[in-house]
Amino acid sequence: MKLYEIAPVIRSKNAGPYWYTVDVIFDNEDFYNAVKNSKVITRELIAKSYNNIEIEKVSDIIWFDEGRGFKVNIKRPYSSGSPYDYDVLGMNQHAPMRDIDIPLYKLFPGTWG
Amino acid sequence: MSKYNIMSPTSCMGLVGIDEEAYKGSFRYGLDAVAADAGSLDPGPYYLGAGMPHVPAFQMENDCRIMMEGLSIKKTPMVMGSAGGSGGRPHIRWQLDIMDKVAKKMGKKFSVAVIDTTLDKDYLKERLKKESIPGCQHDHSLTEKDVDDATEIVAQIGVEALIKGLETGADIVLAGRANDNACFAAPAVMAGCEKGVALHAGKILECGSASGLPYPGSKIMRTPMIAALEGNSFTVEPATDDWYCTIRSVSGHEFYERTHPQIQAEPGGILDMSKSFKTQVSERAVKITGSEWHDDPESYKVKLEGARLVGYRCLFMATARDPNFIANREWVFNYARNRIAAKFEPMGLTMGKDYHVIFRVYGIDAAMGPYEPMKNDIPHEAGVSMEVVAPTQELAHEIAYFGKYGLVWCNYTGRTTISGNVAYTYSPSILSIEPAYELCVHHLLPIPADQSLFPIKVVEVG
Repeated sequence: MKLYEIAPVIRSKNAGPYWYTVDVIFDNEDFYNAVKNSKVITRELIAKSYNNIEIEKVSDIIWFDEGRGFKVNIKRPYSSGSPYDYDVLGMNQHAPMRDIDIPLYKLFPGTWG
Repeated sequence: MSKYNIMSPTSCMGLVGIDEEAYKGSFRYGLDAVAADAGSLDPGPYYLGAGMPHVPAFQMENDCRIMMEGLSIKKTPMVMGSAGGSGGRPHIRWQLDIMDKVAKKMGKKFSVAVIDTTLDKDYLKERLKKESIPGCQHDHSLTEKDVDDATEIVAQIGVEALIKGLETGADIVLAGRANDNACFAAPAVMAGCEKGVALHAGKILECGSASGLPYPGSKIMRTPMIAALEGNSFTVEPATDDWYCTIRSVSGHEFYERTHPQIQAEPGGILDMSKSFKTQVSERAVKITGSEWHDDPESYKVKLEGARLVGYRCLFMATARDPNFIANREWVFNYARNRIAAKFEPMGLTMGKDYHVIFRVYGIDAAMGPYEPMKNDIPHEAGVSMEVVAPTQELAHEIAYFGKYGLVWCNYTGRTTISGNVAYTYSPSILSIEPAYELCVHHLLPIPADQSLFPIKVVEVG
């Protein structure tokens, strides 16, 4: 399953002028816990999903149980709004996160027959 | 003390527009303070650098009118932060002029405590002789050149400087660049509320209704939010009955546009929300308990912001509908770039240093650039733009016109036409657009704790 099929909020925004921050928020607490405990989401996977960027450009994954979600910060290629920048407010950097594969059948083996 | 009620009418003055009916409806809460911010660095460095607002004047006027009329209904401390968007001197003047116009139309007078947050360049250069001023989120210390290059340098002020403004007793505090959360927290802290609680409340309020949800069928697009502070907790709820807050809606907002949901650096220290917890206290309200404030043990630091002019800009917009052009786009761009460089180098202009030529392909990687994992998928159509940034508008125009023909007439592999390689979107094909700026100051400056760097002047509007 793709992340977008189980997480209703997948979004990005600037976190200051030098970083994008990507948020993934779940409705279902079981999905949140399953994804968190599976350890599928790693810095390495994010770097790979964003066209194999250097791992130093990706922060640790920050899990937030109360918000039932996680976030990861990605170093911008250029500072916000400078001439070569691609996305001034960082509002469309979430798409590769949508397509991350979550092996849900492995996380919930009993429910898949 | 009893509850202290702060109201946030909007996420950003002049942006979406305050809902007037909902604003008036919020008075049933017995408001103690109203606050709003008008800005952010988020829309990029242009607005600060060029001294321009980032919202329409009529919309700012309408929001000012609703807030100023509100003061005539119930007088509360009122804070407006990050005046005119970026909080520089031209931005303050712009917003103050609008407030003057509103007051005149109302036939009333208001006193406004204007907090100047623009720093003197000579002062900063003196400081640089004695100390290093570190970067904020980057590792380049401030240089004298950065200071000279910036059109204006503003400091993002915190609760303490805003309280100085409130202490004047003026009807409205209009601050230059101010921390969003602090605009809401300042009147509460002045009234004796805990700083950590007040700033956490400010953090939830600063985006207006973003931490609430509309019930199905709600006619109000954005509603004001109310935070009621009491002891070590606060309760947040939307001002109108057709909106509600849940633990999820509030904590979801804590995620937003920050590198960490629970730890946030602020002017003078750290807002620590890691030990706080939320309780749903009614169908529409969430209570948050246990937010903490930690003073910076070294010194009171504020963030400086400044932008420099990179150059004047022209834009060529076109559409490619030929699959071979799209497939060979990198070859085309290199051809066009080399042709421009060969022409202008003998005139003493080096590409990438004296001027810039930037190509973008909409439909391939215009949003994500080097981070785009799907750039090898060829669409049937793609938008193509070429931007030129040069020392003068005239030169930008010359380079863009010359450069365009390299792109339009070059013989890429598989070309089947002689008329031109792309569809022009506009006549004229080369558009003069606003100049390009970039951030050159984003640093942390230790300041005297008495906030004397930010002079306050009480003026009358109306």
